[in-house]
Amino acid sequence: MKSHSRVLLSIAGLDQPGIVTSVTDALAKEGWNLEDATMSILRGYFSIMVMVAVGSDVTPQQVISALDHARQKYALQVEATSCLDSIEKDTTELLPWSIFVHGSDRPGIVHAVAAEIFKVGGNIVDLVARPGGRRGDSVYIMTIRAMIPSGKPSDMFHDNLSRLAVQEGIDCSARLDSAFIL
Amino acid sequence: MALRNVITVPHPLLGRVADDVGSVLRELADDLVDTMYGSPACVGLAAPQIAVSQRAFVVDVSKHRAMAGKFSNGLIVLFDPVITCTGNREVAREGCMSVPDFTCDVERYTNISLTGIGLDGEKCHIEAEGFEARAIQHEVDHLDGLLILDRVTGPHGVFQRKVYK
Repeated sequence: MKSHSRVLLSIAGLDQPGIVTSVTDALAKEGWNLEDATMSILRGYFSIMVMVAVGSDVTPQQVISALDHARQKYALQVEATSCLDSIEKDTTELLPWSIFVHGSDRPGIVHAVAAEIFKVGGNIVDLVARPGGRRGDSVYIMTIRAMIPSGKPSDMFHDNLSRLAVQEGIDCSARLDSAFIL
Repeated sequence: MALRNVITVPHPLLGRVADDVGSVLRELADDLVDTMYGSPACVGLAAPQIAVSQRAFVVDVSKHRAMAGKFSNGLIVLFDPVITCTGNREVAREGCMSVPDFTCDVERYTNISLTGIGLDGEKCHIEAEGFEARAIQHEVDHLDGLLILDRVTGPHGVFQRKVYK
């Protein structure tokens, strides 16, 4: 009989000091363990996704209830989803790529790049995008990590991105991630 | 020849400042060299990684693709190293046998000079740059109880480990 299950928590609200403290305090008091987590501030709005290991008989609704105090105090939107035990994917034929994009901001840039990744059977695993710029020049900066099948798809992907950069008038570069093992 | 087990985080020895050696420990040196050469893609190893908390390390970047057409010092075996870092600071991604699940973006100096006791028991002086300098800084960090996880450039500088090239 399994001893715990996992709940994926998604929390959002206007950013203010104390949200993380309050949320983690409530989870710790229940004896639940935070596993993966990612947090960001988007234009003044706080957002976090947390994988929480809870007791096997704990429901997502109970996790939301445990956060009632934090939810009301900081006016947070909280959602919880029950997760499967583990999802192990075979990634042996996939290579990690980093993709860097910048250009004048306009609708469709993320889609255009994402479509190229999808076209070669790739999967986006991390994406950070920031609009910026001064004096009315709106600039869009984005970094993506994606797993791309090795061999022909990887070669094609590089060529496709170069073509996309010209077509869309953006700067777009990609490199295969590698590390020095020391 | 002895291939030794490489300890991994969170083993407490990896966070400890290693002791001075003061002489040549031939068997330790042999084990470090054998374990480094016996580990695919590995170009350096420090004594704490094989659970020996003494200030000794080995590095050999000569066969690495990053060194193609470049000078290297070949196999370096050094006891009680003292490192001086110079040059610019550059960020690159590093992996470590003692941190098997992650790679990290780490900032290092481009040039180093190093003194220590060589295999012949004599004091020696080594100059290195680029990738070789990076590898040596990484190994000296092990002697000071520091891992790539202690040097990571920022919250987005840690990556799930996938492939080594």
